Amino acid sequence: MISFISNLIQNFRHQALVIQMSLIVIAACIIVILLGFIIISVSRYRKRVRDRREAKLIPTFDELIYHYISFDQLPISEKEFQTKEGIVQEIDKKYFYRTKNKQLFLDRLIGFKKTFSGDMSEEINELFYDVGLHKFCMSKLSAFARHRKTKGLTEFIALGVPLADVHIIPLTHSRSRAVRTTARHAYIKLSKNNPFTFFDSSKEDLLVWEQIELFQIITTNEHLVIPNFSSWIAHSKNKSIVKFCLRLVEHYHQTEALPSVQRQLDSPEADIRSAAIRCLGNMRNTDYEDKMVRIYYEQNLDCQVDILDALGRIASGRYVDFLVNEFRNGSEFLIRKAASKALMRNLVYDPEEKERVIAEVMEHSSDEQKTMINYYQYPILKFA
Amino acid sequence: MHTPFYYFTWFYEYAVFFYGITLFISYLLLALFSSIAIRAYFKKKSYTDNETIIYSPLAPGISVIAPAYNEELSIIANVRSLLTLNYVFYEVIIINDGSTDKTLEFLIEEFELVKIDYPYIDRINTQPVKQFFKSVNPAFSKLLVIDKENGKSKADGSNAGVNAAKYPYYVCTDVDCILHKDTLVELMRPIIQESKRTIIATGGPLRMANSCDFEGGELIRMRPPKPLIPRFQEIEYIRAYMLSKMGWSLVNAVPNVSGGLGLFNTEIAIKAGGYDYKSYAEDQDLIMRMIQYCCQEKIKYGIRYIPKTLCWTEGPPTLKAFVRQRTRWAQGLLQLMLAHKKMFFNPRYKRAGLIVFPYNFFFEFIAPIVEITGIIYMIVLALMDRINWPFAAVVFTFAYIYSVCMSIIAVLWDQLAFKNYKTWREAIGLCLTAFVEMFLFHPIVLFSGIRGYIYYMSGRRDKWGDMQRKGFDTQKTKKPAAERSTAPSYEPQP
Repeated sequence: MISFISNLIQNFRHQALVIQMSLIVIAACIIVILLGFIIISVSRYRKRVRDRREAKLIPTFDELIYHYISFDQLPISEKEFQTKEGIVQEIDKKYFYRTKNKQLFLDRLIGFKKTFSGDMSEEINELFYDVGLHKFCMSKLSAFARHRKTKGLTEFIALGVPLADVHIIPLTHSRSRAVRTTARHAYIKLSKNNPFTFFDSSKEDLLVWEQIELFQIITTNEHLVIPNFSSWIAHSKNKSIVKFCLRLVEHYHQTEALPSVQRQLDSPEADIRSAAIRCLGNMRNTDYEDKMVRIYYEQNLDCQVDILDALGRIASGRYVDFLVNEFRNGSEFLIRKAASKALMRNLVYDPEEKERVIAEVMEHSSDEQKTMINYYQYPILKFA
Repeated sequence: MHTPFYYFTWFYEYAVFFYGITLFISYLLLALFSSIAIRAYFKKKSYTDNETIIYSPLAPGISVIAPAYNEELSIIANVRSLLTLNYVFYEVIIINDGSTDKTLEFLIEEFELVKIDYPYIDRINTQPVKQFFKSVNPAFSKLLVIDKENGKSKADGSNAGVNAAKYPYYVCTDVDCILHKDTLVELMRPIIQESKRTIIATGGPLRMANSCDFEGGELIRMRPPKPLIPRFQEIEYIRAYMLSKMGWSLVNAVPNVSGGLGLFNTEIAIKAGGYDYKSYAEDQDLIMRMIQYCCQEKIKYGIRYIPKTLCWTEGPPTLKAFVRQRTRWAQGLLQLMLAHKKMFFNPRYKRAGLIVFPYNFFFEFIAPIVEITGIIYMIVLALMDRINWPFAAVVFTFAYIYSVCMSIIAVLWDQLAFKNYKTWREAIGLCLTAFVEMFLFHPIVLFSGIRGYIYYMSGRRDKWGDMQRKGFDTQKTKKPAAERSTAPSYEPQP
């Protein structure tokens, strides 16, 4: 066997091409397999070392952070350090010689930030500056790798520390969507100047995750001055921004924006009409019921279902006849279902009327319709 | 003057040579693509927080659909597990597919269910639905149980669930699968992060649950299976998901989203006709039809895979059960090829017609045939003393070492990305399993594949398997074999 292999190698140049190729691939595969074993082993070893290091450092870091942020509240007997500067020096000299430790400390700091609010939260930001982590985060913003930029921005956002526009604005024009988007989030959260200006200039669609992140940042930022979103609803040419603003109007219950929302019922785009209908329904404003009913028969199925749902949410009781008619004569299952749900909601405040209407409706209903009425009457069920 | 045999051998050898080279190159490309896709996954993940998505009122809703047939042993623990997934807008729809054991009774008792009238329409035809149940306990308000007549396939049960689904996306799983708590948000992430395409389906890897530890429906310790067959399957699954599907995901050419765990666009699934109850590979069949629908409607679709393991399933522990499972998969593949033959090299279906379907045809469907004819050919040549044994040994070593190399790369990607196993010994032990896979496992797969084709062509229909499920909480309190479920249960295909 050995002589055969050595013969093959020695006479490699004289072998057939297929055999030459096979031998090369075999050799390459053996190297890859060996490398695979080595990489798996080394990566596992490194992870083990990292886990051990973190297991040792995390309690120390947590203790130091806690000491710093609660320094003024701690009784003198429990104080391990005379001053806050002492804590900072300890962190800086003992641990910050390694970048990995800096990153771990920063992650712990972000974890604390999520847990604490008020003065403690402010103390966390102070510690962030005192130990010089702002420089560490800032260096990420100027890194070449896009994901490092995004990471740096995400860290600033998580800590909520102010960041000058001069650092954020160039990143809002980045070629990388992730950097661009995170920079916008940072701008909204951290900038002191009109943070919603990008709504005016943004031409690309906001992705769902961008909307989710933005929504979270906007609705949880106590210091943010919430503008009237009606101007973007009325004038923005970006569909996704209009839809997003409709959600914000709904969230902040901006009744002053309702006329702009109502105008979107005439939008040529079905999904904008749909979003406007849902917004009006969730705002539970009775002023726009008439218009919704008026345009009902011109809409596609999705919008019709949304209108019925909105009438159910508003539950003014003014359109019971309309709902009964749709329930009885609606051509689509979804229409009949939405109408029955809306009908039950409209009757909820008047038990006598409810009894009368249900008796009347049930009399001429099919089995499917009876099922719907029964379903939406179950008191045990919670309906979204 | 050459003999016809000469021409035959000349043609056959060249055909197999080019076939093999193409296959090896495609594996190499997939390994490269998958590494890029895995890195991209981690980069994207680094700037999105799961919690923000989980609790956002803007996150799209998901219906979790799990058909159950005679699953009394594990149904309670697994439904409890489904009810504690991390996501706000979701519902759990359990379809009791005419179970003959106490699956429904156990559900009613455990979750305080009452029969209700439920507005339901057969948008996809199924066997008749008999009754609906909801819980009187608000803690289980997400749960809907559908009791229907047995449809003799998972597809029929799933279709009933899709009909009842109220959310725009649904996750299809099996009640005997254990899901990661973040399954829904992880599967939703590719959809909400996509900017160019409508993502119609996403999937995540399945792994063997056989030697893992579970507590309260949650994985607490992952191990490679100790029994040999599930252990080989673990390697096979890692290869299929980490290398193949992740690679295809990068170029938007995913051939299949596993029935064990997949998230689908409800509307498009319904418009594509739902699952085919006659199909042995209903998951792959649905994907093909969803692709066809998107191509017809000119929807720029996408199908994505993520590398994070989100689902654990019990693999067939015995050889008999395994052969039966693979025979059925082979039948499914042949059925699929025949059902969608119009897609073969059809530019109308773009990547699916020009890459996915031909790749499946040549390297999944034809592979066992090429292999078996190769073995016969070798035997004939050996009998005629026309084999150059030293060179044959080199070529065989090449094929062997290459396949081992691909398995090691797959485990390497998995280990670099997640380090699922606790010890070095487990990870390296799994790698070493790859060295014997070709001799012990592959012949069984080959035999089952050929058997499946023969069964299908001879009109013999294999029943849904009678795999003995042990249940995930039985590792501590094992029941006697007679008490274990021996009825058909659904088994996912990677």
